Amino acid sequence: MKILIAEDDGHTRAALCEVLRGEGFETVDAADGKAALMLFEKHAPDFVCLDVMMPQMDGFEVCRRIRKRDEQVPILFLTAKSEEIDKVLGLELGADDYMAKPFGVREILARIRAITRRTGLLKKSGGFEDEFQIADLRVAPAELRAYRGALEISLSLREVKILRLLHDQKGKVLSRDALADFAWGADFYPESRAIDQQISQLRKRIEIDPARPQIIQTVHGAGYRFDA
Amino acid sequence: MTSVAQRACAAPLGMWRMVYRPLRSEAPRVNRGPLLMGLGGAGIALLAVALLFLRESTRDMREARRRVSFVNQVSHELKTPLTNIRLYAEMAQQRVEATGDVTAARHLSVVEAETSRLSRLIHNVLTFARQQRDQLTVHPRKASMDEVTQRVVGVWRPGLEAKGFVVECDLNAAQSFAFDPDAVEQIIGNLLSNVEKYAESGHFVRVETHGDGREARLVIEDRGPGIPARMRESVFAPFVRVRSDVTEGVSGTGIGLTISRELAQLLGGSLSYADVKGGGARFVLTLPVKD
Repeated sequence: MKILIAEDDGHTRAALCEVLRGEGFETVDAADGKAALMLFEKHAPDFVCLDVMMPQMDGFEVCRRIRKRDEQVPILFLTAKSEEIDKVLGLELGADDYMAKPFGVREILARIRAITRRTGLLKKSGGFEDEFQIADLRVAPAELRAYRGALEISLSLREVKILRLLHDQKGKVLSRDALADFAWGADFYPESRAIDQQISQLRKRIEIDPARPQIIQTVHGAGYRFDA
Repeated sequence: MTSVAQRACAAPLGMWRMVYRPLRSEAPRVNRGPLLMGLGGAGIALLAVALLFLRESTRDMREARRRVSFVNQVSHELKTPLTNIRLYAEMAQQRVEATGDVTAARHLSVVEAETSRLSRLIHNVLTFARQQRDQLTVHPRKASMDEVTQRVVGVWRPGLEAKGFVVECDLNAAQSFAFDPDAVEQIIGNLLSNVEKYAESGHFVRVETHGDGREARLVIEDRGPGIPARMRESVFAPFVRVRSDVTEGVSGTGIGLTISRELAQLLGGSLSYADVKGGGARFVLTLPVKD
């Protein structure tokens, strides 16, 4: 899933790209409204985050122009002023939601997940619609959630991808390279430490006892494995 | 002077003639000049004073408006750096959690908590400024009171527990209805911030939600010193803070409860205070359940 981020502040833009890529999304980014429109044309992203106040063309105008071409793509506004929120909600811009600044990592991810769930975006972007069972977990990729009985566990897109691969390659050892190719994408080479960190975080969420993992087992010197 | 009537007199006064003149009917003539001049002068002076006042007051108003818009501008300008501090602190926190550096994690959690405090402060100042300009609005949309409450309590829990609070949460208003989740988040944040500031001695806070088809209620209760009887209404007025040993040295702007109540009322609900038996404060937010 590809996300277009249009935000004129360089630090905010870089942080959003890093966080979203860390979650398994692809990102393209623009520092002004015109560049955002050009990137929209070029990449046809699945999701758009738009800052309101941008040079060249403001976010409202970008939104209007995107809507002329695409009525479906979810658009999330990043707003700094209450007046902007009034406008996002008041005008028939066709935006899906807004996120008021200042926001944190967890908040923006939760909002993006909620919108992708609501719009059924993950189903549309394909490849992830089927639920699957891994040990005692039922993983619902389109919801970015897993269930253990009544317990609900939120997952990132990348975590879903990792679980999917472990499930599909049941009993086989997955090297860090194989995981990186599948869950991070071919153009992105994470350090092996980053992969281990990701696995450790995932274990905290899905293992009953993360210190003695039952689902994701470490195979020393080789990688990870899921045994049925 | 013209006569009105005359008549010849009879002999032996045949040479005489009687002339009738009307009695002077008008009031004696007064010289009005000085009075008119005085009045005119006073009028002009009054007008001048009025103009001066008007100029002063428009200048004051202009000045006040400029000040409000300056505060607004500055507050907005603070939001971008604040967003960045928050984003990068949380990103660093995630990394630190993975490596297990406990000290760095503690330092970063202080940065995060202080950033939220600053965000809340700016949010309150901006909300108050909007209210003063009669421009405060709410944006009702479908949401669940429990989800909002859980989210806010989740943010506050670590900080409160670190200060020795026992945090109880009992949620019974899961249904979705139309209200402004951001406004409710701001209200709960302000109430919990007060608990943290003023009820530390009680080491306890309980957050409850209740809902039926008619209304949803959120109750926040602590075991602190409560609010003295004479101040139960005035604490909702702007810039009023309870003065006591408890508030001594505690920072605050005195607008948290004001805007919280205003927001509750804009949503068609209310925010009220009640005492807790055995000591403590209890705030109740009530919202009508609308589709």
